[in-house]
Amino acid sequence: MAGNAWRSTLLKLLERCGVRISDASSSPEVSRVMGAIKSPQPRTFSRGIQTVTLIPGDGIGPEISTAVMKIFEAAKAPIQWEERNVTAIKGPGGRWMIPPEAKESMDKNKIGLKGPLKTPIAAGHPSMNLLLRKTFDLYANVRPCVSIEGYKTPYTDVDLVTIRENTEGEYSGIEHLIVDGVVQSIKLITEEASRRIAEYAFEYARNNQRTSVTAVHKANIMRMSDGLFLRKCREVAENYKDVKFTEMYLDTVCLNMVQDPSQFDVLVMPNLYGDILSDLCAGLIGGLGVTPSGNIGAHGVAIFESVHGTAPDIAGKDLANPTALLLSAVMMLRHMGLHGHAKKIETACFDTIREKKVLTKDLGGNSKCSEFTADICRRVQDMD
Amino acid sequence: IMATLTKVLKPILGSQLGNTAKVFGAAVNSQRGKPTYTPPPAKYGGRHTVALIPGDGIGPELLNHVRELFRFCCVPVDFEVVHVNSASTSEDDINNAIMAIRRNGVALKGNIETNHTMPPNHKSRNNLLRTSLDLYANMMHCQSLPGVHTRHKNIDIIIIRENTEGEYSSLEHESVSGVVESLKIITRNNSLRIADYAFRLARDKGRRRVTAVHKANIMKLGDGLFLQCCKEVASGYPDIEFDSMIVDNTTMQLVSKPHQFDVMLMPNLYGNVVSNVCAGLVGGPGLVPGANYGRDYAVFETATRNTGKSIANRNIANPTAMLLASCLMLDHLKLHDYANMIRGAILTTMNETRLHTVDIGGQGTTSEVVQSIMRIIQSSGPLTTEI
Repeated sequence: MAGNAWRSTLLKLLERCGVRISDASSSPEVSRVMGAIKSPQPRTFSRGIQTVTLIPGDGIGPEISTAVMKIFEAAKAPIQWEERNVTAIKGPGGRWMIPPEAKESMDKNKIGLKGPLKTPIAAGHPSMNLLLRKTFDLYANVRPCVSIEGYKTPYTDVDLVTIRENTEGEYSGIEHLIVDGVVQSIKLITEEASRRIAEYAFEYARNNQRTSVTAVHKANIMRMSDGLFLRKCREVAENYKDVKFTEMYLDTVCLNMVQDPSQFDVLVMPNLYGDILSDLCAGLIGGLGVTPSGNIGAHGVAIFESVHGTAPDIAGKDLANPTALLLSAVMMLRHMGLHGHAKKIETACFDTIREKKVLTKDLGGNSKCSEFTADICRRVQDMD
Repeated sequence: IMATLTKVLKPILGSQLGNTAKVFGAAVNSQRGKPTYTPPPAKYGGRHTVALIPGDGIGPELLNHVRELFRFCCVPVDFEVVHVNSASTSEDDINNAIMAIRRNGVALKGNIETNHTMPPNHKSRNNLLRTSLDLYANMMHCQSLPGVHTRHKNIDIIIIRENTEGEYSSLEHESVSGVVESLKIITRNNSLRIADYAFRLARDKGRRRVTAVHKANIMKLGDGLFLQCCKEVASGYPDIEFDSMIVDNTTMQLVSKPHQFDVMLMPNLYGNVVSNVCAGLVGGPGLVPGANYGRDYAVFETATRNTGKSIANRNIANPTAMLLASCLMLDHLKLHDYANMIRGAILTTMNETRLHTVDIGGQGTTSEVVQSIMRIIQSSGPLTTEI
């Protein structure tokens, strides 16, 4: 153990001098809550400050983004924020796209943090989330769901991660009116996408010391499509023998999830089932206001976001709960390898919620967002 | 119509006419416009015949208990047993079963296992049964039982699920190697039919609100059509409130605030998810019975359609769901007295005697529960056979 101790002291010394060296042999510190996501890009010998694209969003977006920025400042996290706005504009050729500055910034920084975006009903353009997904090929949606001490729900032992394929499946958007009164909606499953999501799921499980991956399907009814998905998962499972692989029908998962959520670990599934199950799990731990989420894309792009709505009724009134965005930001820190800071901020956040003294309205208290934020900042600073 | 049919058939069938014309006439005339279903006429001296499909897993043993109980209570129902071998690839077995159900009009079934490693032309037997008989409505009534410990109390939700189309059309093709398309079909006729069923049921049972569950923000045409049909039908029932909710929000609300739901109406796949979530909320798959209604036929089974392979033949399965399903069947046959007697005994065992099987936290075996039910029936009065 002496060698390890020397090595870590040396690393810490170098870190303080501003040089961060990646150590492939040491396993990253992971919390069961926000796991590390292995990124394929090489770590840079930067001065330690990473630039991250911040998309504040609409409604309560700006205020919770400010809250997160404040907490990060208090924690002295080496993050520099680049704020960008994402509104749909019509590009050349008539296709809707996000503003080029936003795209450039994301491509350069590779990491993004996004607040809630509003989806206008009849604006003629697709939802912003859909645009972002298409632009950066965000194929995996990761949602770790862990019961939060201090925010009581009838389910106290939840600790699972839902990984959802985000590009195809039932949400491919291909629908036709065949004859008057008959509509056909196409669910698309491809080998490539299924393999990609399965590989991601197993990588995630391995990097975060998760013991098993469960594929959720309905292959008894949708024999070919879910059958293909399942086959790909089985093939990928062959390469990851250290992680246990099981398959379970969607209805069995729902049934058991509501009775005993502790039996599940990592769940991987196509788009629709993922949508329903991830929201079900979010409901188990307390709703979208406390659930973090990350979207992983091709070419190393990762956008972390809060999945709740824009809450226009409380926008600007300093009543919003920044927990979801904060926990997503912590997930982001882990993704970048900044485990120390991630742990600090996460612990501070959970401590504040456990104390129950300065909770926002949706968590059961009646404090303001700024008070909640200030409390977390104080805790973070006290930890140093 | 009955008179003309009799006149037509008399020369052909001669004196053996008897019941035939009436049965034929009834089936043809059917329920067009009639609000309630008339059960098939009892044959052979007041005894009904019901098709029984044991299925796989825990199906056979639970249905044996049902038969035992019916014999004990002297219920005037005879069972025509039809076995379906889930391992065979030929469809003869399931076609025999379908014919038996057509003959009898009513069936009680266990779940038939579907081996999903078989090629796609081997369709799910249960699905085949539902679509051939056009059992378009699946009704499931989830009620919290006071004797069962659950996280949420006092849940009372009726779930009505479209049973024949939607994602379960089994229409799939591989356009290019590695790219598979699965079609989800939504038709106006079926959506109107199921919405009408839901609202009629809500009115009959005195329910106040129907919630349609959908994902029309993403599947704009498909679920959009479904929602539109529901709204159309809702306008014809002004006394019943109608609202809609997106499926992911629904599941989230179900696990946090289930008491806001009354009657829920949805297409096939969401019905699967929501019914399993609700079954889990009230205590598990062993407690809730389900019914599949069509225009001419009715099939009763457990709500969550589990095969229960892992607990088969170990005498630990919970018989409640299957027994309550058989009570639903008795209600359907208008044998209400027997239905209420058996149901009362089941609920007494569950809530007062508290004899629970393993899945709801007790230690009893299946046979002990059934014995207890029989004892309660015997002590409450009517003439029964010996235990």
